[in-house]
Amino acid sequence: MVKLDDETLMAYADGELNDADRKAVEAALADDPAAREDLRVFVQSADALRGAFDEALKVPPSEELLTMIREHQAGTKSASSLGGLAGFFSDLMRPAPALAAGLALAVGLGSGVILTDSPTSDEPQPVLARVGDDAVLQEALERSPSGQMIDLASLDGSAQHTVLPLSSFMDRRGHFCREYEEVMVARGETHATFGVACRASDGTWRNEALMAHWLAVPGSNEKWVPAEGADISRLIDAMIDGAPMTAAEEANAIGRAWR
Amino acid sequence: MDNLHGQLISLLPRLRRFAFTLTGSMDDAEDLLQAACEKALKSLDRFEKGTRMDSWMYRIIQNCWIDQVRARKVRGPAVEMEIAERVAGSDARQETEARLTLQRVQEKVAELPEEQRVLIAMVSVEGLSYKEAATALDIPIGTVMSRLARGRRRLHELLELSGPAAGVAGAAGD
Repeated sequence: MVKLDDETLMAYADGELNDADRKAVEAALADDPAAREDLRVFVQSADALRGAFDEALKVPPSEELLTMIREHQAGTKSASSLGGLAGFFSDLMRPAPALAAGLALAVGLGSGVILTDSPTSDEPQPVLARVGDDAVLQEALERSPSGQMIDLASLDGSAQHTVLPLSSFMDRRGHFCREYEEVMVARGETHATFGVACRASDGTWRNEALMAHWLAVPGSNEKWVPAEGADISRLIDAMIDGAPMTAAEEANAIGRAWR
Repeated sequence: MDNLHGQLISLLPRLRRFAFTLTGSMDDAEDLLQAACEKALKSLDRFEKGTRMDSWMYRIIQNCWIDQVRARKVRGPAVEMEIAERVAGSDARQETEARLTLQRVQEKVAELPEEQRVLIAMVSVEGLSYKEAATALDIPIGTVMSRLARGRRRLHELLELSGPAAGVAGAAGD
């Protein structure tokens, strides 16, 4: 008989148990209401934490930091191309003055990119206002094929989400990753984000980077800029192992729940 | 693959999130990230190629953070209390909503002991497995699990997520 202590219940909630242990825990839970209550602690705490610090992903590296890394590279090798995010961030983010305040700024919509300042606030805005909203994104990344728009009401019906997975690939750590675009409308405001999320060992999708965030307020000064399709792909180039998945490979992975 | 500098740059968004989870402040996260990258560049020749740079960097960030905490000799929450006051003064419906805001989660994580917070950051925010976290911190996996379980249980209490009709009982308090 398996012992349902905190560590075991947490490992179950986090997807850390092998099949045999998982089944043993499930059998024991069926007869143990107190342990089921304890399990909620670990499920709910995981839900609350996922995405809670993602606003940090939107902040581009400071020039000081990039310069430090570039100079070190130049000192250790003959100068070779940096690649990765440096160019991505400096190119995409520089046109938005609000960035210095940690705010947001540019998102691809359709075939273009909208750049905007937040006209009403100097405070950083959370990407997703509430914890429960994350369930919508999780569902879309887990089950929706790339190119297929998913339109879902969030848990309490107060927000409307559109999630569009764009591509799937395997990263260098061997995790499945997906590029996506998300638009959320809540209380008259539109929040839009380009993201790259990877599937962690517990089966949840976690953002690796958020490329953009647009807070649209009526009367704001938006500006339409032609999209540079290469920008988002530069980030993925720095992460990807091999080639992006084909539609068939992706359908197969979704069918196997990405295992 | 052998472009270590490029790899480091591509990790910066996640490293900043890790630093933010530890410090609870964007400004402190920037300082911590800067200090950790400086240290990493100095010892870049000691990074073993073929191992995971993210785990290596998490370890360096964690060490820098512990140094900073010790240097300041300041314990307890580094976060301002104004958000908590606003929550306390609101009516029941708003309170239910506010209970789940990201700021509230950030604030409560900052109240956890350092050894629990670092595991919450690695496993529950960054998505490392228990084994990966144990390797990154060079501690036994049993220690990872006991610290993480205690931190998660404490956070759950602080967020008042449990129990029916939460929010009613505390409404009369200061």
